[in-house]
Amino acid sequence: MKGNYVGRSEIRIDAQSKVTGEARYPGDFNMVGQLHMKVLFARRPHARVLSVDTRQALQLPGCVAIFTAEDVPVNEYGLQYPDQPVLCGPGGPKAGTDVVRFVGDNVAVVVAESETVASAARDLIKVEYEDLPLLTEPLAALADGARHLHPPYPGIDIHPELVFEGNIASRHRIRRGDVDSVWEQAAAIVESEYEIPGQEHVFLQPEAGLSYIDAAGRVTVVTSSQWAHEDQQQIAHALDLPIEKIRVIYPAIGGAFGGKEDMSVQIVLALATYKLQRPVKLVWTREESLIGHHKRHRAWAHARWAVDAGGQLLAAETKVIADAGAYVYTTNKVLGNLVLTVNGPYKIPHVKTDVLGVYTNNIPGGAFRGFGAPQGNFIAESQMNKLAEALGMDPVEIRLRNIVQAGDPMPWGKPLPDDARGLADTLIAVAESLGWEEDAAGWQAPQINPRPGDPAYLQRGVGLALGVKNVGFSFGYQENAWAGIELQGETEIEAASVYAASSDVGQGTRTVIRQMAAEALGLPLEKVTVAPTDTAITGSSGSCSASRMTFMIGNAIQGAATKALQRWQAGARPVKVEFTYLAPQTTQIDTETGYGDPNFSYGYVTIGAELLVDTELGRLSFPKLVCANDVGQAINPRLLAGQIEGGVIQGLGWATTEELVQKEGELLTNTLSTYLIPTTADIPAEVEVIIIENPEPNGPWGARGMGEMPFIPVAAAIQHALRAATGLWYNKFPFTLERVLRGLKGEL
Amino acid sequence: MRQFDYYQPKNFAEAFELLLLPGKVVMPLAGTTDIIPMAREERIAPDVVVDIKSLPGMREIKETEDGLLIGAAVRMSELASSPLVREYAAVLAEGAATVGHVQVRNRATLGGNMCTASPAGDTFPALLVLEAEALLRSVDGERSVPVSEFFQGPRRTALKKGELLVGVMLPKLAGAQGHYAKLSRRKAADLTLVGVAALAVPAGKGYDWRLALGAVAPTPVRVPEAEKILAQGYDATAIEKAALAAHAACSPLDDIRSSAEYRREMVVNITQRVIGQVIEKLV
Repeated sequence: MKGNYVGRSEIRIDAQSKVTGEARYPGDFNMVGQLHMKVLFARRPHARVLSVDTRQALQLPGCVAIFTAEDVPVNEYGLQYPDQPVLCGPGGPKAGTDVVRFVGDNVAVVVAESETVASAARDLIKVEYEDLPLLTEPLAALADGARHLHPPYPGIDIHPELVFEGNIASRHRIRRGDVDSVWEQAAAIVESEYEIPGQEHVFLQPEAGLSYIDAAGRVTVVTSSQWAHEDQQQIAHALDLPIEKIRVIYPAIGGAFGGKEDMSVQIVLALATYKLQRPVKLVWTREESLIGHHKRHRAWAHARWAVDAGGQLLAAETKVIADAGAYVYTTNKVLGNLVLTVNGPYKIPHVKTDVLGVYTNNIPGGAFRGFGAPQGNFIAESQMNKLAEALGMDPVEIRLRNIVQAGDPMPWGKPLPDDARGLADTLIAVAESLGWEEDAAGWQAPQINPRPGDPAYLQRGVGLALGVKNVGFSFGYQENAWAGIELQGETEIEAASVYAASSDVGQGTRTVIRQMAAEALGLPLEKVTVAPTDTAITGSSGSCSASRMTFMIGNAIQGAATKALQRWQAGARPVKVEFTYLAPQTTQIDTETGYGDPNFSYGYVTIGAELLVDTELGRLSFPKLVCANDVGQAINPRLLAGQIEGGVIQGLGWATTEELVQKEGELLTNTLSTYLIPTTADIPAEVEVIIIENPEPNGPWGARGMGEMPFIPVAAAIQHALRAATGLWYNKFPFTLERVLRGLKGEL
Repeated sequence: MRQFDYYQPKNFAEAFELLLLPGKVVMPLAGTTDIIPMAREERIAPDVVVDIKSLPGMREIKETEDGLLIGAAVRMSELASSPLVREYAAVLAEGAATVGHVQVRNRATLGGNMCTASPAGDTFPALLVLEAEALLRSVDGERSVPVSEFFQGPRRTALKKGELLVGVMLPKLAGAQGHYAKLSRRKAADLTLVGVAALAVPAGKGYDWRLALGAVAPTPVRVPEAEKILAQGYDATAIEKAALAAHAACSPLDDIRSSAEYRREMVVNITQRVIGQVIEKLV
């Protein structure tokens, strides 16, 4: 649909300020009298901190204070479970807070009159460590007798998958039917081992913040992350202060992608300002950012799937082990999504899935665009492409025969909440874009022939993969989002202010909020302003993650707008209303069977890849990537296309050049000259965006979430195209030059 | 990063005085694309930097009787697009065009690339096959050094204390055709894994060939064995033999970017392609 504003590519609220450089990011804020902070990172992956001697450092002129573990009122934090010390060191009441478990653990923070002095003082701190045995491979961490990286943990009801048995952080299972009863009936069985890489977010703006005491006496942190009220909560917990004594403000944010879901600078900044009652500024360097925040989970999988002669899936047995790293972060929920996506959106009568998240001394695994779905998707879609080939069936055809239709149960026993038409629609759109044709026998892949002028060393291939992922928070959490609206004027509404704590991480959420509010209120866009994200003036709208914000905040705005217009018509002047949208209730999934109703909405996507392989060099290039995404309703098509292009290119990076190397707990790719994200020059000649709009029944104006979807099937589509071009299944990626070449030489 | 003092002398006398400041670590600075990252990583710690871009002749590209004179502070983007360079020494323009990315090429200079003396520098293989002379100047006067002798090892050059690289002289090579190509893991802003330059210079009824490799040995190297093979003729067998000679001449490193084995294998493939490209230009 096209409304007055919904469905229209309005210019971003922040377009001018970002183009001119006026937009202020957290590192751009300064205050008179501010101090500067530097963090002493552990830079060793596993050790007990025996002592921290700050005497010499404190004598440095200009060094104001140094805080260590003893100074943190409640020395723990964590989004799911507080298993990480704010500062690692001796002297605390809680067991295990004296141990550093990965290179990015913080040991002390220095506050000084200048950044230079802060750095110099940090380097004068003497820390005595007792190195502890390293566990950097999940299998070693699971072995009998392996040292437990965390003290025993009692468990919490809301996260039953968080088990803390030895080094198992989380366990996830699906048991449906009996896989062992059908192997003998299979026309084809595909069994594969996969190794799926980690990934670094490389948001352009590293972690930064400025803290101060505001006029109301609140410890205030101006920073950039994804959920202001959760930051506020975690700061309050660590400082042992009432939540209303903490304030969090988000200015312009230079990217997040899940990498700012967890704490970085927030607690230590608040701690220093609370103790010193002065403004304090902290900006992480890129190198600190690379070791300091979590990564996409590495995962190892074994999959054995069976299909009958007609192409119907019979069974899927899949085991996945993921590296949770040193702390749990969001591992239990990431792997919860992995377990829901690793069997694809397919009708499978017999399913046996086991997923483990395992503690190691690596950088923690955590949230990253797709949140477990990309790993699950790679396994599922690779299995499907292989099964199609094993049967001599077209890969589009086999999917159409197996994707769930309205009412078909997913492996967790419940159908997808809508008719899931987007699965077939996106698949067919991509297939047609790549040259697939349908005849009486079904869908047929295009013949890929060399083109005139192709050198002998060049091989061409096309491939595709589809994907599905939940929108919004899952597993029984009562998903909610708050919005407020104020209307000013006398005879007519002259101005409307919208309040929403939505983190504009670059996707343009504030622009979309403005459009949705103008639409809902029936006002010209010019009359609508969007207030900044600030816990002092907004309720919690939840995290900008899980592809949820447009869906959730749109519903909240509709609710608030209805209420506001009713009050206006009743004569109230001015009008000021709040509304909290509650999404349909979900449930946990059973820890033994995986049964439950874990999500209220899903997004559907298919990716296609046209690829060239230089078989002498191992180099891949991409004449075209195509993404079809069922977004329900595009609120702002231009911003949406930007999100799709960005997601596809980020997926391309994960699949090709981004090789994250950790060895013995150290990050070897610790610069952006060794960890290679795609540059503008690496973007394919054509990135085709196909927007499909099957309205989401519960979505605002029919919109569904989409931010993560375009990323999810990219790696599997490229693997498929690579198979077409080379005859090889690369089950391990990224598909670097060298890995591709080794495969061609018979050393897969 | 440690603080340092910045000077921008307008004449050589002033520059040399600064370079010889007693008790100070003084470094010349041009495009800043190497020196600033190195200072930030504290791999260098200058007290004083001397910006050489305003010195006479440093930013000129000039045809002389002896050949083409290129000032040390000529930028990569200028080298890549200069009609004179493209005419005299297309291979150097091609090398310059592959350095870093657009923003870097708009800052980085030929002299800087040479003085940084990274084995992976993209202008060296071209300078080697062109048999360029490095022009050095100090209070004691000027001297010139063949580029092959200028580069002495990783981060080591023939420059003496107080001496500045002021430019390079490219001899006139009528009818010569060359090509530079490199392999890196992504299309821009990535260190070169293998760089190869080849040049065919008319000699008698045939050609003298020159071949140089970058990034696969402690310094960029010429491959005389390959050159001899090609001078006898450049059919498919000869090209393959020349590429194998290049393979034998290199000694690449194993590092996080790639294995030594991969680099060595790619020397063969890139060399064959580069020679093929030159041959296409000859006919």
